[in-house]
Amino acid sequence: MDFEDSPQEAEFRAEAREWIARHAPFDLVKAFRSGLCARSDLVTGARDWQRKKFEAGWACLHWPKAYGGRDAAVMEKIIWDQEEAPVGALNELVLIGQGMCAPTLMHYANDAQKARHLPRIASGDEIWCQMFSEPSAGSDLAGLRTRAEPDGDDWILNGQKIWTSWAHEADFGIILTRSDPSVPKHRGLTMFYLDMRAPGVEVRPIRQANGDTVFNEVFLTDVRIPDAQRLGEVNQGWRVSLTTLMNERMSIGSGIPTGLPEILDYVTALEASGSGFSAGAAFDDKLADWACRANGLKYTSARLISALSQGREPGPEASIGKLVAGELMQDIAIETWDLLGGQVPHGDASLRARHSLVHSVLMRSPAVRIEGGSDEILRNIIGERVLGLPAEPRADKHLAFNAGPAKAAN
Amino acid sequence: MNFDFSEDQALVREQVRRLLHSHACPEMVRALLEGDLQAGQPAWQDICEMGVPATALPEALGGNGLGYLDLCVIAEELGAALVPAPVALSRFVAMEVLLGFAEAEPGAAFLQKLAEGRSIAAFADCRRPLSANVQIEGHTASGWFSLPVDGMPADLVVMVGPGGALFLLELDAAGVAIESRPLRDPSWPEQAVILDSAALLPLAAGPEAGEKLDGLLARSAVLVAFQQLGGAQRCLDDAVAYAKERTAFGREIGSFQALKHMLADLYVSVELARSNCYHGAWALMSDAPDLELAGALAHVSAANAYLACAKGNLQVHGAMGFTWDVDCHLHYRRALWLSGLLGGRQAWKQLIARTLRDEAAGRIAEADIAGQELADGL
Ligand SMILES: Cc1cc2nc3c(=O)[nH]c(=O)nc-3n(C[C@H](O)[C@H](O)[C@H](O)COP(=O)(O)OP(=O)(O)OC[C@H]3O[C@@H](n4cnc5c(N)ncnc54)[C@H](O)[C@@H]3O)c2cc1C
Repeated sequence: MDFEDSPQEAEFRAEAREWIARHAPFDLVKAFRSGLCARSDLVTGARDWQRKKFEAGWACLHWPKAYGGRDAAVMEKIIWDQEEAPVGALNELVLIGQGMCAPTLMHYANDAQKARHLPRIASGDEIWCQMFSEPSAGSDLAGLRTRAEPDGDDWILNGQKIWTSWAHEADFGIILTRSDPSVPKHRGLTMFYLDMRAPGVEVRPIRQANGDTVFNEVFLTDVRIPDAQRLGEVNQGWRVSLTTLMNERMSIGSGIPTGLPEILDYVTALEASGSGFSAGAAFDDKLADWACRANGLKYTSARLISALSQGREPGPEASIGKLVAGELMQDIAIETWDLLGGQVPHGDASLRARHSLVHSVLMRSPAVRIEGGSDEILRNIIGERVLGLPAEPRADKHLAFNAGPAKAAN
Repeated sequence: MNFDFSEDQALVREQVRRLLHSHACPEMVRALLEGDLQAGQPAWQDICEMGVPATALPEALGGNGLGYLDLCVIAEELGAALVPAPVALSRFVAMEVLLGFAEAEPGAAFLQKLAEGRSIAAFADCRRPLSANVQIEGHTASGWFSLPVDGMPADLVVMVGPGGALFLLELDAAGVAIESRPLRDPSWPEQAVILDSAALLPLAAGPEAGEKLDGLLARSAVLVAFQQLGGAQRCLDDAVAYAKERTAFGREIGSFQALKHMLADLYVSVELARSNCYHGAWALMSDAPDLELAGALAHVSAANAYLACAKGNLQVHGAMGFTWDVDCHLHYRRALWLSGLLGGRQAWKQLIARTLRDEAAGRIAEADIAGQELADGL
C-alpha cells in the first residue's frame, strides 16, 4: 500500500512540474475561471499552450513518436495530467480530438491518414469534434437517423447532429451514421470522419444555459465523403463507437474538479473579510459530507491509476467518477448560494472574483450530469454491468430500425 | 505506486474468512441479542488463537509480526461475517488507546494479557453526559457508566474521566458492580457499571492526555471503518443477489429501475468508503501527519455506506427482510451500533470541518495578496 512515485516517476514529475511552472499561462486560466476574461481569449491561449507543449515534446506524450508523442508510459501521462491540472481548462478545446477521436483513428484509420492527422491533433493545429448525438438520439444513441448512402467510391450523408462540442472551431470530426435501416438499430451503423469545411456541412452554434457557446447543431446536406474516410467495417459503427466512448471514460474519469477547495476558500475569505459574515454549523456539517465524497473520489481515482500502473484496464466501474463529481459540484454550489442568501460582495474585487466561481459552477454543473452519459444512464451501467442486474426490457432491441419507434415517429 | 493490499494480506484475508465461515456467526448474534452475553465465546476463542488481538503490536508486547494493514483486512472480514466478538471494543479501541501509554506500567502488563486473549477490554468516555455520571476523587471513582457488550463481556475498562484524565478500571475490583438494565429492543446489548469508591489505575492526565487521545482514537476510527466497510459490502452483495432472484410483475425485481438505481447508489457509497478506508489504512500504517483527518473521513464515509446499505438491503428484501430469521436486521443493528461506537458521526464530522477550515484559513492568508494583485492587474 503506497502512493510513492518510483524514483524514475519522481524525476519525471519534477521535470514536468518545473516546465509547466515556467511556461503555463496560470493567470489567464484564473482570470477566465473568475469571469474576468472572455472564452475567446481562453481559446487563443489554449492554442498557444498546445503548440508550446508540442514543440517541447510534452503533447500527447503517451502516443508513438511517429504521431507526435514520445512513447511515454501510461503512468507518465497520468503524472503529466496531474501536474497540468491547474491549467486543465486549456485542454477543453483539444480533449475530444486527443482523447477520443485520435484513439479511434489509431485503431481504424490507414497509415497515411494517421501520419497526416495525428501529429496535427497533438499540436493543436487540427481541432476535432465528435458528432454522435442527434435530436432524437442521445441516451439511446443507436436510434440515430443521419443517413449514409453509398455512391460509387463515395458516401453521401444527409441528416442532423446536435450538441456537438467545439464544432464551430473544428477542422474535422468523427461521425456515426445509419447505413442500413433494415436491420436492428445497433447493427446498421457506420463510422466515418469528415472535413468540417466540406460542401454541405453547416455548423450553427447553440447558446447554452450558462450563456456560453460551446456546443452546436451540425446540418449535413448531400455531404460527399470518400469511402477511405470510413472507420471500421460497414455496419460495424456501434463497435467503433464503443472504442471512442471507452476512451472518453479514461480521459474524463481520471480527475474531475468538484470546486470544493475553491468554494471553501471563498467562504473562508468572506468570514475573514471583516464583514461579520459567518457560515455557521450547518455549513460545517455539509462540508464534512462533501469532503467524504471528494476524498472518496480522489482515492478512487488513485485506485484506478494504481490498477493501470499494474497493467490492468479500467472497466465500467470508472463510471462513478463523473456520477459523483457532477452531483457533488452542483450540491456544493447550490448550498453555498443558499448560505449567501442572495448576497453578492460587490465591494471587493478579489471576493467578487471568488464569487464568480460559485456562479460558474452553479450554471455549468447541470451539464456535467448530462454530457457523456447522464446520471441515469450511468446508474444503469453500474447496475447492469458492474452489479450484473438484469437489463431493462427494451422494446425495440430486435426490431429492424425502420420497423421500430423511429418509423412511428416519421 | 501500488494503492492496494499485497498478496500476503490477501492470504491473511482468506485465512480469516475461512475461520469465520466455520462459525454460525449470525446465530450467535441472535443469541447475544436474546440475552446470552457470552454468545460469541467459540468465535472469540478461535480469533484469539489466530492471534488477532496480538496483530500490529510491537514484538515486545507480544506482537505476532503482522502489521496494521493486516489488521485492516481482518477488520473488513469481521465486519462482513457479522461476528459477535469483542474485537472492535477490545483490540481496535481499548488496546489502541492503551498502546499510546504502553511505555509505562500499568499499560504494558495489561497489554500482554489482552494480546493473548486472556483479558477483554472496553473503552468508556465518561465525559459523555448521557451515558455516564462518574465522580472521581484521587484514584477512586463512584457513579455509573454504560458499557457495550459484543459477544463476550469485558473485564477491563480504559476509561476517560469527566476531567479528561485516563484510567484503567478492573471490573472484578472491589466497589464495582455490573447490572443489566433492559431496554426495549436495544440495537445492541449493554451493561451498566456501578461504581462505589472503586480503585482506578491512572494512565495519564493533563491536557496532553486529551490531545494524545484524539490521535489514538483516529487510529481506532480507521480500524472500525474497515469493519463497517466489510458489513456494507456484504449488505450490498446480499441485496444484489436477492434482486436477481426475486420476481414480481413477471420480471426480476432488479430490473426495475427504482431498485437498480438505489443499488447503483449503494455501490457508489461503498466504493467511496473503500477508497477513504484505503487512504486511512495508508495513513495508519505510515503514521501520516494527516492521520486524524484520514481516520475521520474513513469512519464517517464507511458509517454512511454501512447505514445506507443496511437500510437498502432490508428494503430490497421486502417483508422477508423484516423477519428475525433473515440477517438484514442484524446488519441494520450492527451498522447503527458501529456508527455510535466512537462518539457518533456528528463528532467526527466536526473534526473534518474544523481541519478543512483551518487549512483554508491558511490558504486565504497566503493567497489574499496574490488574488488582489490578479484582480488589480485585469
Ligand atoms: C455540454 C454538453 C456537451 C455535449 N457534447 C457532445 C458532443 O461533443 N458530441 C455528442 O455527440 N454529444 C454531445 N452531447 C450530448 C450528450 O451526449 C447527450 O446530451 C446525452 O447523451 C443525453 O442525451 P439527450 O440530451 O438526448 O437526453 P435524453 O436521452 O433525451 O434523456 C432525457 C432524460 O431521460 C433520461 N433517460 C434516457 N434514457 C433513460 C433510461 N434508459 N433510463 C432512465 N432515464 C433515461 C436521461 O437520463 C435524461 O434525464 C453533449 C451534451 C452536453 C450537455
